[in-house]
Amino acid sequence: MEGMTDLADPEVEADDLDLHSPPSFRAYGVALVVLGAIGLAASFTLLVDKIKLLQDPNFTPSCDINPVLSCGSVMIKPQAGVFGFPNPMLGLIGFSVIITMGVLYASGARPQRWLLGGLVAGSLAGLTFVHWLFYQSLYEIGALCPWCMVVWAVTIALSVWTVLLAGRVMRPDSTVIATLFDIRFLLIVLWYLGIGLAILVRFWDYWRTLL
Amino acid sequence: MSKDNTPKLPPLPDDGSRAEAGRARREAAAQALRDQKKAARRRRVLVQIAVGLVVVLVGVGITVLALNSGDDDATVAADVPASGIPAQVNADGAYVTGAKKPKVTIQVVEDFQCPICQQFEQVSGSLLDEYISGDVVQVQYRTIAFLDRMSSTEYSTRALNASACVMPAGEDVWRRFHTALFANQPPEQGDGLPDETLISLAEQAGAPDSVASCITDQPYRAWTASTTQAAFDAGVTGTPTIFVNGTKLDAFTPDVIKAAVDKALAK
Repeated sequence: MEGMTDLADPEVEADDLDLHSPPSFRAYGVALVVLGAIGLAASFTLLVDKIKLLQDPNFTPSCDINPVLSCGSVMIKPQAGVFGFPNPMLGLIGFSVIITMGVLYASGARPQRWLLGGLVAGSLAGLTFVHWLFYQSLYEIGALCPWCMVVWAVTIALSVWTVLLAGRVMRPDSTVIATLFDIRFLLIVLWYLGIGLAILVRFWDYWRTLL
Repeated sequence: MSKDNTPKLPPLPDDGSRAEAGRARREAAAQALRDQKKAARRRRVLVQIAVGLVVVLVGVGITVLALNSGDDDATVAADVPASGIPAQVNADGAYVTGAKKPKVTIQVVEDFQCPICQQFEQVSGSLLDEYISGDVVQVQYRTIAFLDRMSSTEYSTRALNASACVMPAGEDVWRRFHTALFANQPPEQGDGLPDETLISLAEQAGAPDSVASCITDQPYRAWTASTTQAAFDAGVTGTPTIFVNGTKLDAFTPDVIKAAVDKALAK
């Protein structure tokens, strides 16, 4: 029957077996814009608070909530300006680029592949820096800064997405990468869980006082 | 080929409608496939959400349980033997100064390692001194030790123990020591003040020589943990916290404290 031959069309069948749908650049673009905007807002707030703190040493930043959650005590530490200027300035630049690239992808433009490579390099650099700050914040400074954690969170999410999307584009046949890409949200959640547990353990002596 | 050679077959539907039927079938098949993929995708998302939730709940649950069981030390500390509790503190674990029969009571919750408490002492200390030398206001110093992680030597706990060691030497000596501890507060993330410095500060304040062994042996260590826990149980969330007649103040500037005291006196 002709209906049968239609379904048995080799092209359709191959597509059918491949449950991994091709990655959507449009969704990626939207994600970059949203995550980048959140990161930009956080960096901007941090820098404004830093400037206010410089103008008035008694200024209490908006996110000084309790002894553990306090930007003020984190902001004045040398780790908050490793490169000789406040870290959030890097965020302002980086997240602006991310948003621009996101708009490009979301609009349907398909830039050259190497541009995606650039995003991978940039987000991995950000990811490394964010984890160094995470370590410093927990184990050297001993306090958390909420806006900084927002930056950690968006950097992790957009790095995972960027790296896996690039993997899908470079190695379209790899089922491992395709599967990882499909479960990217789960990977991000697990990553957050790891960080959350580290925070829970590190500051347990404080958290339990809130119970 | 001539017309005569054409086999006698039933008339075929014209080409246009045939192609249309094929297209419709293909479209239906493609639609079915799309639906199938959509369903698969939805299933995948649901599975991810479920797995994510389970892993997060289990992970957090196990960690909290493990951490809680590690807290047994603290619960044991709640049953501190009487000999481990400084004789001079009241039921709140506070050292009482000023009026014996007060109209107003100020309770100051501090930690010797807390930089904002140091600022508080600088800004509002003289006002408290004024109240202490009068006979209407009682000032209770409820010192706690919750910032041990801010030093490599559990300075919070050692300083509070030292403060308890100095209590028997009397109010004047204790207040001098209290002032000296804040004036010499070690920076956070440092090694704290060594016991020798605590001892010499105590002796400079006027404590007897016996204070040295008390500071090194830390007989009040368990009490520092239980009084800290008691303060948090009583609604303290950080330091400094100021209560005036049991009411927690929103701020700790001299103006706010004075206003609260005056209001309480006016009653």
